[in-house]
Amino acid sequence: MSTVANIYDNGPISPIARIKDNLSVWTSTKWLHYKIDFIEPVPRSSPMVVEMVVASGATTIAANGTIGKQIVPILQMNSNELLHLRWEPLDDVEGVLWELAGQARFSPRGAHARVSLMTGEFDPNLATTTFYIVGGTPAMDMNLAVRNPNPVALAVARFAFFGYRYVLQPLTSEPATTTWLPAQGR
Amino acid sequence: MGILKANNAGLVTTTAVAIGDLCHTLPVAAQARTAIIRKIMWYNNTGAAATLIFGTRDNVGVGAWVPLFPTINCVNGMDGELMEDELPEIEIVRDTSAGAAGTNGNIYVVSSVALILVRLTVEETTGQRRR
Repeated sequence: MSTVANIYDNGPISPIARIKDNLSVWTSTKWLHYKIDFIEPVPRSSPMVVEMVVASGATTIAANGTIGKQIVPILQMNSNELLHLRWEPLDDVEGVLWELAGQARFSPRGAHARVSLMTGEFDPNLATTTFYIVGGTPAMDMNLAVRNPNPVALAVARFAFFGYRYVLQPLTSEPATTTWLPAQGR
Repeated sequence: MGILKANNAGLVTTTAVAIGDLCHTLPVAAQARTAIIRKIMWYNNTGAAATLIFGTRDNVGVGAWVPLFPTINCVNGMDGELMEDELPEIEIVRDTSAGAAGTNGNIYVVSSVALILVRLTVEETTGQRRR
């Protein structure tokens, strides 16, 4: 495992920089510069699992149905914090990632890719599911929509998240060396 | 490369209809999945010997029977099962070709007598497994 990964490294997840390194984050339509004060892992575990059927107030996700996009509260961050995540469903449903409610992520011009149980079959480290959440005001919260590809209703639609949490110290100018991180879609 | 799951029609009680009883429905065509049967379990308490054949239907009307597996003999008063290593690697696909050239991709079972209990493990795939 590398000690510092590239931002979409195809191996196991690792921090994208070290403590005291600089980090430049594209968010709120501009580059914001930070020094990393602290990094800690966020292991995949039961508190990092969201059950979207309950979260949506429904009792099932209908056959071939959808749960509309909504914020996932366990992934909301404080100001000057960054969450670096990979994720997958635990049930046979597909997750659709949105930045806030309006910006599709993982989205070439003609499609909006989803994360499914099949994703981990082809990408065992879930590297292609990597995304970032910047805390603050306005918070760059993610929204998650769910699709059920099955011709039967499902009672649960769980998603597990894991990764790293970074605490950041804002810098007033662009540092000489930095890691460039596009946390926001374009 | 796929998802192992129980057949989504649940515990099937056969009715001995000629075009088969539904065992498993594939996701809609846009999801581009196929299915491979990984386990078959049955119980025959009908009082008579019986046979089972697994297959799909073509796209003629409501679908005409398309057998895919050889006949399984179900001894009266006995349960039985076939595991992954004993089953041929038959990938059941939704082929949208019209009429008898196509298949709806769902899995059905034709039984010689009614009231045989059947359950399956199905692997829904995005293509056959590379070994």
